[in-house]
Amino acid sequence: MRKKVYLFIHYLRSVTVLAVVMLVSIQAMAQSYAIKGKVKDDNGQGIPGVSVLIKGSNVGSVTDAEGTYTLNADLKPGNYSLDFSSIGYASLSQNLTLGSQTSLVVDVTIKESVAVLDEVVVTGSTIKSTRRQLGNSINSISSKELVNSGSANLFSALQGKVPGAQITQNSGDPSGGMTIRLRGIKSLQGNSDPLYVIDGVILSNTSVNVSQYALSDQVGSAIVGTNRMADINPADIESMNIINGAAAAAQYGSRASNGVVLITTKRGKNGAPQINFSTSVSVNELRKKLKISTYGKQFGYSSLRLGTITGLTAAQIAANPGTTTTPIIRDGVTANLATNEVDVQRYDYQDEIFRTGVGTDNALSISGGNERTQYYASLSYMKNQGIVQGTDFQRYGLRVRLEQRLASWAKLSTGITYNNSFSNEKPNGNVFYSPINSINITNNIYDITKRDANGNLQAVEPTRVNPLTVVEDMKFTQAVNRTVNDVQLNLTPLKGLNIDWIFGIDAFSQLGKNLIPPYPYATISGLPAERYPKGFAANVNSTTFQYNNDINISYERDLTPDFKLNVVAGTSYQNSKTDISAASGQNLAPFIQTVSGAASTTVKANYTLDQFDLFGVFGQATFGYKNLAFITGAVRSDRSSKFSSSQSHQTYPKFSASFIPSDLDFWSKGGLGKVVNTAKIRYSWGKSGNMTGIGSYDRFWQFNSVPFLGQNTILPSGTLANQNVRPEFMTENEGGVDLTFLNNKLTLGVTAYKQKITDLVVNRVLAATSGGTSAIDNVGQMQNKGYEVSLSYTPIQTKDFTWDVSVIYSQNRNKIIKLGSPLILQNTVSGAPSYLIEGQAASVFYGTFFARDENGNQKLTKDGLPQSQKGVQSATDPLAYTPSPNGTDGQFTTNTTVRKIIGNPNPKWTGSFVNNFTYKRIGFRFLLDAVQGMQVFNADRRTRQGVGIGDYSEKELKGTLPRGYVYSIYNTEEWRVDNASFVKLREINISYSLPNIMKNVKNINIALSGRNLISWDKYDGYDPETNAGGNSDLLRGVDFGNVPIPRTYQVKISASF
Amino acid sequence: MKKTLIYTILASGILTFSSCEQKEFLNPSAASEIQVVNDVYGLIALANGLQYRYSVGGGGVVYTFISANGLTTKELLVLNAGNTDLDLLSKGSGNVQGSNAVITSLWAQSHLTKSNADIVLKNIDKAADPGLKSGILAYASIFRALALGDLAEFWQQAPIGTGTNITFNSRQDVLKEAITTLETAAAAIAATAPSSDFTKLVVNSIDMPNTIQALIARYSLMLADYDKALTAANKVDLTKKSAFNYDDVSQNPIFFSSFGNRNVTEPVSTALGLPDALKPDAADKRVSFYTQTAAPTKNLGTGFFTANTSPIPVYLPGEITLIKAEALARKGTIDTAITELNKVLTKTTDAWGIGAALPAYSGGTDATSVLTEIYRNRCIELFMSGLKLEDSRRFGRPSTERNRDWYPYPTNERQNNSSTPADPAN
Repeated sequence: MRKKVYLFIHYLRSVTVLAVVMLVSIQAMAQSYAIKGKVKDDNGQGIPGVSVLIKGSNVGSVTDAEGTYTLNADLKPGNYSLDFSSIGYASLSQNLTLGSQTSLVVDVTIKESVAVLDEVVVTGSTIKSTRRQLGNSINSISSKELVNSGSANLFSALQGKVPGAQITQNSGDPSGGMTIRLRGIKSLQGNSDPLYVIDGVILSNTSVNVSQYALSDQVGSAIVGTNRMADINPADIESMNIINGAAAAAQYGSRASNGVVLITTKRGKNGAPQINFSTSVSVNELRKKLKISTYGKQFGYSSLRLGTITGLTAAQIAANPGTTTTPIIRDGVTANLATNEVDVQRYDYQDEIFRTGVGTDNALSISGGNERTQYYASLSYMKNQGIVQGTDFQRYGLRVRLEQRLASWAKLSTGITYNNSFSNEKPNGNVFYSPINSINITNNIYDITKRDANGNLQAVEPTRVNPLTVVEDMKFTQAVNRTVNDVQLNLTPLKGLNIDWIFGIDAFSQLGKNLIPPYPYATISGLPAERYPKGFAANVNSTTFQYNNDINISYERDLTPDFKLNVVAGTSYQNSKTDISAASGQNLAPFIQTVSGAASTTVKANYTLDQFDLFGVFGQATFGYKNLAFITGAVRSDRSSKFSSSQSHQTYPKFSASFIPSDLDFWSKGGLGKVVNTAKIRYSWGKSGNMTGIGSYDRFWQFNSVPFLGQNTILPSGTLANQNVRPEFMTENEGGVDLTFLNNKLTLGVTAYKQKITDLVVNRVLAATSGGTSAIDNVGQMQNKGYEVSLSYTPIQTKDFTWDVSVIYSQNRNKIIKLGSPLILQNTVSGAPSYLIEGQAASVFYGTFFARDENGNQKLTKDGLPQSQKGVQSATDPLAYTPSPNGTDGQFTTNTTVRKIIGNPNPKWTGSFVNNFTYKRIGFRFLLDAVQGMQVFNADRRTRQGVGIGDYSEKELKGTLPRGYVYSIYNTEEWRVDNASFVKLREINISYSLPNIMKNVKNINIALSGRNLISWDKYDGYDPETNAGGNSDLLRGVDFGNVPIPRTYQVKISASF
Repeated sequence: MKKTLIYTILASGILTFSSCEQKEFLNPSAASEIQVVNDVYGLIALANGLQYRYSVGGGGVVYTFISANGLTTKELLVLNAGNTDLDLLSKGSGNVQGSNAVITSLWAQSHLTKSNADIVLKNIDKAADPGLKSGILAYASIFRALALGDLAEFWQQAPIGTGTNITFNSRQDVLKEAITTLETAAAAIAATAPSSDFTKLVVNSIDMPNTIQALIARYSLMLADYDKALTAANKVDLTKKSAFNYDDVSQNPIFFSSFGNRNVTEPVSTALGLPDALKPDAADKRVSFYTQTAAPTKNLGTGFFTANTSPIPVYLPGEITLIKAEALARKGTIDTAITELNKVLTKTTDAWGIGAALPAYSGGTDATSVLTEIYRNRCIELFMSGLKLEDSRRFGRPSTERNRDWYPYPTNERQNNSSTPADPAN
């Protein structure tokens, strides 16, 4: 049974008063006492780092690695209270009677609790609060939840654990990007990434494309590249606090409008050196293979390309005797589709492209210290192979953290980390020479494994690239060196006053090498220029240097016994600089693999500099009444170099309140307290801004230089600018309750929020006659509304067996209220009609759809085939149209198609379910992740049918579908939208703690994990969790050549020495 | 030690507070409008930028008007239906809507060329040197006129000015404005020839005096001002070439995107888009200039689109001669019209290497027959030069020979400019 912590706190008060009275009245002489003992957790393990304090004195200590503590106190005999507290555990107060015995042993067991009111949470780099006081919802993730996720990527390890967070893995590439969005997207022009802070250092998560340079101008608005949080090793993390709303993080104000992720890394504890070691081996495989047709026939003649959908000309029919055709009418135009079939041999190229990859993840750490100095050092190595041949990602990491107490009132803390990562990549899915798309776009009637006498690969379909060339010959690599360092000085010169100074540096460099060697079959295949037939090489260098300087001053004081005041003020400054230089060229000399071998007339070089800085000051005050009710008010003022000086300074107020009615006498002592053990009501309102929501130079109309025939050429940008563009402004209202029931076995937290973003910066479409095609302007408004529910329940908790369950449910509705134009199309090469439409959620799919009659049945053409709805689109409302009238034959009389919203990549709700069993030494846990109510634009599915390798084209060949079916649906965009709702077995894990079989070796743990093992979905592609847009916020839910997420199995052994 | 630590904190505090001033970071790889227009070399660089915007890239005007015109007038067909917007253009009628990316690009880049040229012309007085000033004026005027002329060919109305919700002008007014711009430029370079300093700094593939007259002739013919067309045409030196140049970095857009492979578009056939009754003579050498049948795996089309570096003519000598022939025929002087027509039929080569090498015209001497022969020769001589839609309308050709008469107005324009007129019926 769990201890009733809250009752103890009440007892504590009465005991304290009694003890003071007794002390005063007795006035006995002080004596020397030695108190020692051991602090254990539920498993009987000693807990290091627990703070032990005799309340009312300044006698205190910290438990060592074994969990034992020793206190030497000179106190008067009497009754005292011995307080035990530690982050992640419920505080405990034990009665302590100091009498004639001078040597005492007090052993206690403290319980873990993460949702308990008095748990300490981090809301700024050095700003802490208790849950009790916080008027916002905050989610804490401890290292235990990250350790057996089966993934070495921090974001993957977080999937399914944070309410309100939509964490999407955009691609199954081992170095592929992951996107995390808290409560929906907040900005159209800027990034909706939350702010990441690690030990007080603001981290950069940008994706600079250095390794996919060949296609940088071929991908439209998709954002290609690994986001740099991939450099952070989850094994180094002690805890994470994630604040979804903007109002909580006063310290980060303007940059926190997208939420804040505060990461605290592991640090050393007082005691003998402790060595922790873990190693794991994992296997990645393709979870689901696509249905690629191997039916040995095709239409027309063997050299006919796209025979399923191509109308033959008279010349083609004459040149290929035996060809028969049938006329099919679509949208008023007739095409003569071939009907005769010829024998071909088909191959499944998936077998050549995919492989089973292996990986390993190893970490070694040593930590320890004494009263004044604590240290933590770790070394890690990870390598992971992707399921596409030739792809992998490896990462070395080194971390050292040192904490030194300089005086009783001053402490210095410093951390140095170095990461080196390297990835071998293949072209990004958005081009037709990527691994997946080279399969989708090529007719599979060629044996791609055939080589000539010199071992060169052969040509396949004209103008297409042999898929094996992609995986064998193309080389794209990225090497990253990164160092994240911080120095912190914490001063407590007076009682209740803390002065903290933090200086952090995040510096990294990325080096990308791109190589497409000349194709041996370029001429035979007639490869177009976009595939770089004579070869391509590029070398790209990007260096980023970012630093932040923060000062926080906080003061806490009891004004009266009932009123407590806590004041925090501070200032922060951040500066960021990125230099990118690139050189690329084509037509490579034989055997030369870098841009040095490129023909000089094709070499292009350029340099980009991006620089900005931010500065802000803030002040926050919290009043607490009887530990029951708290009110916090804060004000923050910021400026950013991205805006002109007249617009840059902005002020953001915040207000929050929390009230714990369950601490009131009538509740805690009455019957209500037995049903609802604790209840907390919270509310917050705050404004924040997006000071980095535009490009560093977006407010200027840029006149750019272009290379042109050796002469100076300047081209005014088509994007007009506005010198007076303002930062976006977000106002958030959030309210919630946290309740516990059944003796604190059941906890329920519910939060509802509404965010309104005004002055939304939009890259709006202009009429070209106004001098530009787009302009950056504050013409938009957007809102996010939703709620988050988290429930956790421990039905059984005995000495040997524990069963706990937790459920998370989140729902967010995003809506663009104003856009400045009725609609804006996202630039993409995938053909996905992704639009921003006023009055709708962002990034909906807006396109042509099937004509249906009043009963909802498809309205067929005279040939009995489906067709698109015809009519006239309204000029003012993009969603309205006048249907085409029917003629006497029941068919449409006009041929212009109309469009409506055909899909939405924003999920209706997301949720997760975690079930955890522990029996003696065995643990079993699984996590189910559900995302429901979203659609994905499956661009590849139609491509396969047109090329002739898909399941529908096979049905047409076999006759189960009428001839012309694929041709009829080919231009109807609704056909390409798929239901992408899924429930996945995200993690499953069995672990066994060995008994202590070897001397000095403890905590030996073997774990077997699986990740993404099963997906229950109705999606017709590889995996519904995918995005060809990469880390783009605006282009989402598009499947175009993406590498699917693999199924992973992992075996992990860890031990401590 | 306490003092040291306190001083450290104070120092860092000062450091922090000193950074609270607003900083301005500028992009060293770009310039601002004020900087560029106030410097004569900036204006010259902008002039080059006009040619870049007009002629380079798959979104540029040259690519889009040649491709769109070719597909609308059945010169070209689409090889891969996956090129959706081009495919819809080849199907014509209701398939071509305001959302079509090709015509949206043609409209937008033409208007941007025009408005960028206006910036240069507005600031022309910043060029103190008369030799540079006349050169910049002429260069910018030529591109302004080209942009206006393209808009007038494909749309019934287009704005001449630049602004929000700007009013539309009729195509006749647009063409007249183009001609006025060209005449001003002609006067300027007649008064002061562009200096060699100027010609060294621009791309200089365009022969300015001859191009100006050629364009005046072209647009006057479209306005049915035959006298002006004749006068201007007679001023053009037919031995001079005027071209858009390209290299491996700024590639010939038709070759780079279409003719370098067989995956996008190619000519319909060696009949060069003409109906059977008018198809080229078997001995017409121009057919083998514009097409090749020797290598079936390569694109059927050649012409001026055989390599990344192939230059594209701004106008052809054949066009000038045919303008003269048509103007004379329409004015009633058939004999002189036939003389000009024969110059085109019988030439074996010219400055660009095109020659029909056919015998002289021997058909009917009535106006209709001669005009039909002139139309036929325009279609062959000027294959894929982007003028055929205008020719087809002007010669009153049957509507089966083209799949649209005019283009609809792009959706981006309609939704953001309240003055946009209704779309044409076809």
